[in-house]
Amino acid sequence: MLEVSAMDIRKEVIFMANEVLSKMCKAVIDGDFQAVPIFTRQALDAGVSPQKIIDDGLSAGMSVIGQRFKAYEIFVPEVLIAAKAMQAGLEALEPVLTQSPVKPKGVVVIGTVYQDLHDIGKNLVGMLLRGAGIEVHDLGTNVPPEKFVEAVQELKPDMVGMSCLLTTTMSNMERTIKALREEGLRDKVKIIIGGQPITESYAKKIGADGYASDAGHAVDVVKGLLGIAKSSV
Amino acid sequence: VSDDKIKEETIMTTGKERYVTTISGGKPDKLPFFVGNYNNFITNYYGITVREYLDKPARTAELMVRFVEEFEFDQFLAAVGYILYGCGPEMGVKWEWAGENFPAAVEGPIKSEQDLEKIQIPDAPTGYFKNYLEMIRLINEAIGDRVFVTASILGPFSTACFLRGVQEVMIDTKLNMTLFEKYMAKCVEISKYFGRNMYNVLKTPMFNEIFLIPELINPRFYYQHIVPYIDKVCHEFNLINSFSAFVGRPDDEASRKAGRILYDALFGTKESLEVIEEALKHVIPGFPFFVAVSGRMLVNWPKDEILDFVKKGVDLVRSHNLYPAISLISVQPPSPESAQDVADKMRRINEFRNSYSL
Repeated sequence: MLEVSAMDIRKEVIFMANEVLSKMCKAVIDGDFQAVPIFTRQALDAGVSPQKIIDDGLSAGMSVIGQRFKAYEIFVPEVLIAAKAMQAGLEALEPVLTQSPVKPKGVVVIGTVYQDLHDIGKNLVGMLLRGAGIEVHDLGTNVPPEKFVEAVQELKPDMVGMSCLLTTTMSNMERTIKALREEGLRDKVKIIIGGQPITESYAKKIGADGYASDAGHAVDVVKGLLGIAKSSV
Repeated sequence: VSDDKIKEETIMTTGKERYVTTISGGKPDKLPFFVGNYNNFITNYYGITVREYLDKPARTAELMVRFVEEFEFDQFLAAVGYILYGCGPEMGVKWEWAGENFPAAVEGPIKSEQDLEKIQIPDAPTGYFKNYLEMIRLINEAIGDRVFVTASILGPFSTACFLRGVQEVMIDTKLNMTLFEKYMAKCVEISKYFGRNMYNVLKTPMFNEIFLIPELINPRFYYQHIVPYIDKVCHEFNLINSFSAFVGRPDDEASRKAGRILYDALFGTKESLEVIEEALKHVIPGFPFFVAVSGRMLVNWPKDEILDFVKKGVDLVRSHNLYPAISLISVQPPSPESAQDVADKMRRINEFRNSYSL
């Protein structure tokens, strides 16, 4: 007669949970936004905590996406579709998040600076940051310095991320940093900037804490500045 | 004396001849000087508003001619401004204005397949596209005999990005290929309409897919699902789709890397001598190798550093037995004060190219 101990059952449950998380991770990478919520519910049924689902399922998948995008192995459509899959997973988690809230790894406010209406780069950064378990507040495009200031006062983020596409608008990053300084908020947040005309030396010149050449690197820089992982800023 | 020798020793007199000689792989009389995007320079340096730039083609054309003559460009991309290229409000695209800057497209009219029928190709140019063609006509009339004037014919992929939205097009490539193929077919017809009208005012336009950059889309998808539509337009007008040179071959990481390096060097996305050196290993036969000066360089770098970079870049290209050119990729100062500074830098670059011995 086969005897099944409590330990065996526990091992089996852990094995099943890990298998579901692994499938969830792969579904995010594949951009399978129909499968991800199913795996999310299966993981919840197996007793996996929302935090673990986010960390080992959804974020793990998006982390692979970020790395592959950075290495030019995948392209913008793959990132967008993976982010859509991750979002579907987060929505499936929503009902339980009120009971067991998940603590984000950091809070970041992002926006495209004043007089600049371009948003794809900023959107990609937002998606990949969310995928890394970071709470993102997207202020949109054409964001004046005072709106960044208000957001920092209200949301008390760890970091502000500014994006621009045009050389004609990059000076608004400096204006925003100045506005934060004037309100006594500069030292309360880290600042990262990026966008087509931006360079590391420009970031240093205007007093930003970090610069990223593309969305994939932005996640590494943000993680580094937030102390989540090592990074070369 | 061989034909090549004669070609080499021909004394060039106009920028147009200089440009043609350079792109044919010949030796120009002096370093050719090209310019790409410059719309914010026109508004900030010559003191007109963005609205005037877009709405008064005769005035804008006059200022563009002044620009070319003042800085002695040999090749000129006429009438820069995304809203002008054919997908303005006249095609149902929603454009948003942000302060005193040029407007940006924020929403396209294609939400579903049914919307495709609503997009009508006009019998004659209207709206900003009409202004665009008028600017090009006037510029070509004024300087086309001595400067190589070109202008953008918007390709079908970029037309789709305006009419559908860039992010939406990207997602369609994964989730809704049926719709993608339908609007791409429509955009081929729209792009041909742009081309037909362009040829009424200029015989030397260029095919331009402004939204295509190497990291945007998988090379395999590009060749299988975008190039066939591009080819339909290019074949119609005998135009070259030069972007393919920067994509590389699918599943060939080395060629993709080479394409990206070339793109970085020639379009100023990474301005460094190391990038030029690396790119020179992948030179496209018959394509001019220009030292690219980016917009951020012109706006932010000190004058002497820019000149040092240009001089070293030109020397580097010459050391590979190629005839270089200098290309200002983007001349976009953010203010009138910055425009004065950028103008001074451009004058110094022009002085350098006039004094440089090939």
